[in-house]
Amino acid sequence: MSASAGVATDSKRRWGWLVHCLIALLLWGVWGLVSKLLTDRVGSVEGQVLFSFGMLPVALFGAWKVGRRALVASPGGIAYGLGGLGLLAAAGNLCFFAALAAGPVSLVSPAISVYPLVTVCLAVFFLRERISALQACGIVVAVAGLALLS
Amino acid sequence: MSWPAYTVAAILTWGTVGYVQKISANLLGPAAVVFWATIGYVVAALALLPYLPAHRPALTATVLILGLSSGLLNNIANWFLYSALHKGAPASIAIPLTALYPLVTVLLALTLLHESLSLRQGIGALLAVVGGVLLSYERPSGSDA
Repeated sequence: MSASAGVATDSKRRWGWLVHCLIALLLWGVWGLVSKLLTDRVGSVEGQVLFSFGMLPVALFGAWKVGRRALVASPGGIAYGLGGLGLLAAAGNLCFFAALAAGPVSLVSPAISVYPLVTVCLAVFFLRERISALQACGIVVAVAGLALLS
Repeated sequence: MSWPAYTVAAILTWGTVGYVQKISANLLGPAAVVFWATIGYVVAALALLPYLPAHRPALTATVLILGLSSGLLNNIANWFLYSALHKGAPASIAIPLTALYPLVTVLLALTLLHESLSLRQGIGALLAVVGGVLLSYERPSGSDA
């Protein structure tokens, strides 16, 4: 009994993250649909404003959970978070909403998923990273996908 | 502008965000990153307020619910991904796996919104997502595979 409980705990620990990944996958999938329903009803700017305020509860809950010290642990981290992951990502999201308002989500969402192509190119150019064989395949497949979508 | 033009703009912007994420990884914990990124979103939203169109659709309960839940769903998903990484998920699996999410959106759009894709577009959608997944795979540090 205790052995099987031990196995269960162990497998829970081992696979718990997988469940979290799958929940994230499903939530983002539903998010795409909800965003399309939103941009069918309002413009992308209005949608973006509502979307941004909708993000707040999770952020505030996280802040409350970790406390002030963890939030301000790194000035560089704050700058990157606010600017690069906040303002810049918000600009990207506004473009996503504008694309959704103008086109079908079943084309827009897969097309946008090739964005790591840009990340990889920037990393090669600025960080002198090497492209792995898998990433090289990814470039070919992503570009072929975009060509078929356009 | 047409949807492909906006899509290209989103790809360029989010691709750069991915790069920022890469160079700023581990400067702050996940909750702090989500917090500051959200504050960035809210600042951007406040800056957008003067640009709201004068003749805009009414803010109905449906619009309010859809708009707020769009942000809520996205940030809960962020939270689950970060929590998976915190629980020891290998980033080399977690990030490409969650990058499959547009396929969920496509399935929902085809079934619930009755959008339709030609065979060519369907193959294109699948390849684009798989390409994104392959591109988001990062070698685990210390491995040369």
